Formats: sequence, structure tokens, C-alpha cells
Amino acid sequence: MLFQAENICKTFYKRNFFRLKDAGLEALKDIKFGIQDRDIIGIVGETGSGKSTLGRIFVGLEKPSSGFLYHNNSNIFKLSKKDFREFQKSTSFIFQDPYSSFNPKMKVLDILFEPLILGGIERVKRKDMVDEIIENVGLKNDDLGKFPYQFSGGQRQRIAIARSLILKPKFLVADEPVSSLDLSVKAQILKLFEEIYAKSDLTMMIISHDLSIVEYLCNKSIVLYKGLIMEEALTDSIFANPLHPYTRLLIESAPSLYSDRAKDVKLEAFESPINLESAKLKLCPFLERCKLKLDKCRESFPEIIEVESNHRVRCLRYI
Amino acid sequence: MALLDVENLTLGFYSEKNKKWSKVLNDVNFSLYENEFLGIVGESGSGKTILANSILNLIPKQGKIVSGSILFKDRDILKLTEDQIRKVRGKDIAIIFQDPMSSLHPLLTVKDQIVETLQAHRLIKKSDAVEIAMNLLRDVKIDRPELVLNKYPFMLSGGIRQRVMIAISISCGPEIVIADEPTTALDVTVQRDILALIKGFKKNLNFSLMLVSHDLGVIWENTDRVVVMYCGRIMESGKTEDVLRNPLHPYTFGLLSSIPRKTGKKLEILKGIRGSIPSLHDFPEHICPFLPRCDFATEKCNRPLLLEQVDRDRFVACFNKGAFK
Ligand SMILES: Nc1ncnc2c1ncn2[C@@H]1O[C@H](COP(=O)(O)OP(=O)(O)OP(=O)(O)O)[C@@H](O)[C@H]1O
Ligand SMILES: Nc1ncnc2c1ncn2[C@@H]1O[C@H](COP(=O)(O)OP(=O)(O)O)[C@@H](O)[C@H]1O
Ligand code: SF4
Ligand code: SF4
Ligand SMILES: [Mg+2]
Ligand SMILES: [Mg+2]
Repeated sequence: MLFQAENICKTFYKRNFFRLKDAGLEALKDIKFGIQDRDIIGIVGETGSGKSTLGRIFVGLEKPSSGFLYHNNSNIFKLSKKDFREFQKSTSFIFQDPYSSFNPKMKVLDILFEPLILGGIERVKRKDMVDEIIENVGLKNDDLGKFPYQFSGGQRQRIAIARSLILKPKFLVADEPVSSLDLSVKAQILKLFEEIYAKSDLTMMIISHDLSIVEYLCNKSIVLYKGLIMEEALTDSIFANPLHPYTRLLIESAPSLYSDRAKDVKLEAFESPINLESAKLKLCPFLERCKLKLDKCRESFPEIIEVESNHRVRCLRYI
Repeated sequence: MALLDVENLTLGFYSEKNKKWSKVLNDVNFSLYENEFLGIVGESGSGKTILANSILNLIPKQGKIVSGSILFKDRDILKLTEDQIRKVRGKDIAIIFQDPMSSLHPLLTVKDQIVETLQAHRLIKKSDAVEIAMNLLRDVKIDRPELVLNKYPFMLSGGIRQRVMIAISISCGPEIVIADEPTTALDVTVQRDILALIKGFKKNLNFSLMLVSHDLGVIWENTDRVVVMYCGRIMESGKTEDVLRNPLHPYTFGLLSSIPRKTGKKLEILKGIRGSIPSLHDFPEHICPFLPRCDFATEKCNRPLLLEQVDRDRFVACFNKGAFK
């Protein structure tokens, strides 16, 4: 295993007027999974499910409240300063919003030089590395003299990809890398990810609320809901045989060009404004929305279990 | 008979910076029929929002109508006075925006916003209006409206907020509802509910919907006819089934081939489109605007483009229609 997450929890606290801690918001709970060398692992879930927080932990930008993250068998949050820096050098992150992650006063060349300088790359090698990476992401030499605002969304995303890959990291986390892009440009960037993966020795984590992106790029997938892993399996099995009721709902809900138009979609008034019983009673967080719930779902909390080989599910129907 | 006729609509925008006029809408022609759902699809910056807003005569300061008309009940909306248009807005034609936060009043409770809209267009007592508001919230499937009625918009989730918006938009029995990306900011599960809700109204409430979206899946599942826009122009329009299953325009074809599609067991992106949409002041004007990105261009394409009728209810703007087949 390249990475192994063990029982990772992350709670965010707001300080109130009396500087007392509130109950906290549990963004991630009991996260446990491994990433193998060369995996492209997809993380899907709704807004606020904890995807970005998980991604940030995996590149060391955020510290879990409890639990461990092993990288090549050593806990990255227990590394010496020097080793932690080495770890961070071998990883990279593409942010959700490519525009706000650039300094608007820097030209593309400087944007690409910055990681090289911080990474201590010798002056003489820098220009060659820039030339190589811009060719790989499909930018032109002229583009190096321009500012971010002079580019379209897709080109900016290419710049962001170039910046994140210029130091040849081993592991890349891409947070919603195409969600702000137009259809045609989205297709271009997805193909670019494929090409880059084929040409390099990268391992990747792709975070997206869009199932089709994950189905397209990833060999393994994880479905997050309210900070919990609900289902984890090879992408093929998740899409061919989704086991968790939430995963099924996600797949059914995605609009598709190839669906039956005549089919009537039934409306479910599940977005209730009422305080949720599941949260108070520590039950399955999907309880209120679940169409397949059983009597026992009101009694105990589902632990995640392996239902088929390499296919884990958190649902009492399988226990 | 069409309910709404947009004819030869050209809208110019002036840019201080470039000291230049550009056509943000260029010779747009289409009709909206009674009780139909019409989709407007296109990439960001193609002019969808501007088009949707012009139908309510909401034209920004730097914009100027160059030509054309928008006929609604034998009147040209573009020629109405501000007083006349205010009576149409919200009553005959309602609009739902992408971000309900920006159209709901942040300092008014849900109850007050609905009551205000009702009283602006109908002569009713406040207590009756509150009663109607409760029913409207039930209509948009908020199961316990009393819990929502006294809340402020920021206290509600995105999906509930959008339902409140929809409740307001249908409150005066409009003939046309314009929904500009009503679900883009929402999770797919919530999106599915909102769309099912709007679709459900089609059977009971008699209105036509103009649904603006960049998601071809949403358009496929929810509209009867569709208009495909690019660079302020209509590239293709017709029945949704015809346009999306048998596209005649290289741009429509390109959009469709950009979507990952199952071939056997694997998802594949077949072709896609190279490049990206230019910004407004670089829209090509005297040639086909799609030419710089088109794989099927010939010398013929170096001249001004025209939208041509190719069938009953089927229009295409291309000199090499269906060239990719
Ligand atoms: N620094 C922070 N302080 C307080 N709460 C936070 C912080 N970062 C994240 N959260 C909360 O943690 C939860 C998970 O956040 P995260 O951004 O990881 O979710 P996400 O699934 O990626 O959502 P989105 O798709 O909107 O980006 C959310 O409820 C979020 O509001
Ligand atoms: N208020 C405005 N001022 C200047 N340009 C604008 C304004 N609104 C839109 N535009 C430009 O007009 C074009 C079409 O915009 P819009 O109708 O918002 O497209 P869409 O809704 O398809 O994203 C774009 O190039 C956009 O940048
Ligand atoms: S545990 Fe029960 S409520 Fe939760 S997803 Fe499974 S069946 Fe539904
Ligand atoms: S007119 Fe020519 S350039 Fe334009 S879409 Fe048709 S073939 Fe392509
Ligand atoms: Mg996020
Ligand atoms: Mg828009």
C-alpha cells in the first residue's frame, strides 16, 4: 500500500463568544482505506460530505483530529520536519477553483517557476522543466508571458495542472478538477488526465460530485456521505452493482442523455427541514432518506463491512 | 399558435475598455408554444442568460436592442413602458434564477416574500395571502410549511430555497416560467427532485417553461424542444429528440461527443471539440462563429451565417449541415 488511512476523524470547531468549544462539526468519521501504487481513486459525494477535507489530509495540508495516515508505512503526521517536507514534495494538489489559486499579478512563467524555486531546483534546469510541462499539458510558448486573466477556464485549468505536476510528484489530489468547465473543455481536460497518467508514474485521487467523471477516470471509488464511507469498491463493481441505497440513489439521480424520457421520476420529499433523528440517536445518517430501510435501522448504527471481495458497504441490509 | 415569438433579436453590448460594440445576441429567432417545455442549451458565455433576461426586458445598461421584437400576446415586450412591464413580470412571465439567494430578499421571511408577490399582483387580504402561501409551499412538496414560513433565506438549504423560489414564481399563475440553470448549484439528488417537481406541474398548471441549462442530460429528460446557442446565435433548434439524436450542426454533434458514453463496458469520450468559446468581444461576426473550432469547415464557411429551416420545426445554421455523418 502506498497510503493507508486508519480511523481518520476530522472535527471542525467554531469558537463562540465565550471562547468555549462548541460540539464541533464532524467533517470526517472513521475513514479507513488504502491506496495502492498507480491507483486512480475516486471520491464522490454531495456538497459538504467531506471530500475536500479528505483530499487535503492526504497531501498533509490538514491534520486529522484523530487516526493515522500511513505513507509507505510511516505516519505522515509523525514525520520529522525534513521528512515531512520530502513527503510534501512528492505530492501535489489541484484546487477546486483554478482562478482563485493563482496570484493574478504573476505571469504563467513565474507561476510555473515558483514551485521550482521553492523545491530548490537548480537555475539551469528550470526552463527545460517548464518547456517540458507546458508541452505535456497542451499550452504554447507564447502563453508563458501572459497573466491568468488572459486565459479561458480550460486553459487556466491546464496551467493549474502544469503547476501541480512540474516537480513530477508521485501522488496527485485533484479536487473537482473539471466542475467549473464547459462540456467541450471538460472532455479535453479529462483526456489530458488520462494522457498524463499513461505517461507518468502517478497515483491519483480524483474528487468529484459528478459520478461520470469518477466512472471515467478511476479504477477504485469511494462514496462519502456526511463524512462516512458508505461504499468502497472497484469502480466497475460500484457502477455495475451498487449495493448501498445511497449509491443507488446517486446513480439514479444523475441526468443522462441515454435515459428513457418517458419514464416518470417520482418525487420524494426527503429534504426535510426538521431536525434529524438519525443525528441525535447515532443511527445511519442516511436513515431519513432511505427507501430501503429496515426496522433494525432504527436500533443500531451500521459498521462498514466487506460484503463481496474488495467491496465494502456501510448498511444494515448487509449485516 | 405561439405564446411567445422572438424575431430577429439582435442585442449589442458596448465595452468601455475595447471601445467597441459587440453582438451578444445575433439575429435570434424562435417561438415558445403553449404548454411546452423548451430547453436553451450552450456553453458558458453563449448568451443564454442574456436571452432569458431580455424576455423580461431586463437589459443591462451597456446593452442596446439593435433590431428585433419579442411578441407576447400581440405586444412587443421590448416596447412596453417600465410600468407595463412590471405588470407582466412575476405575473404573466415568472423567472427562476440559478442562485435563489440573489433573488430572494435576504431580510424578509419566506412568508413575507410570498405574501408581497401575491399582493403586488392580486387584490387579496393579508390573511388570505398567508393561507395561499402555506398551500404553495405544500405544492412544492415542503412537507411541514409552518417550519419554513417564518425562516429567512439564509437559514434554508439550497434545495428548500429553490423550492421557495419556485413557489413564488408560480404564485400568480404565470403563462411562462423562465428557469435559468435552476439546479446547477444543487446536488444531483436535489436536482432530480426539483426537476421532477417542475415536470409535475406541467400536468396541472398550464404554463410553458423555458429551461436554460448547459447539461444535455437535463435537457434530454425535461424538454420537448431545444435551442442550441453558440456565440449569441442559434446554431440549431427543433424537437429535443431530433436535435439530440440526429444533430445536423457540427457544434451540437461536438457537444454530444464530449460526453462520456458507454461503449461496451467502458466509458469513452468519442471526439469532443477543440479550443474553447471566445469571449464576447472576439465573437466572429462575418463568418460562421464556430469556424475556428470546426472540423468540417470548408471555404464556404467564410461568409455570414444564416439560420435556415430544414424541416417543419427544425432550423440549422451551417453551410455543411450533417457533414460529420
Ligand atoms: N476550515 C473549516 N472550518 C469549519 N468547517 C469546515 C472547514 N472546512 C470544511 N468544513 C466543513 O466540513 C464539511 C466538509 O467540508 P468539505 O469542504 O470537505 O466538503 P465537500 O464535500 O468537498 O464539499 P464541496 O463539494 O462543497 O466542496 C462541510 O460541512 C464544511 O462546511
Ligand atoms: N453585464 C454584462 N456586461 C458585459 N458583458 C456581459 C454581461 N453579461 C454577460 N456578458 C457577456 O455576454 C456573453 C453572454 O453572457 P450570458 O448570457 O451570461 O451567457 P450564459 O448564460 O450562456 O453563460 C458572455 O461573453 C458574457 O461575458
Ligand atoms: S442502514 Fe438502513 S437506513 Fe441506512 S442505508 Fe442501510 S437500509 Fe438504509
Ligand atoms: S458553417 Fe462551416 S464552420 Fe460553421 S459549423 Fe458549419 S461546417 Fe463548421
Ligand atoms: Mg469541495
Ligand atoms: Mg448563465
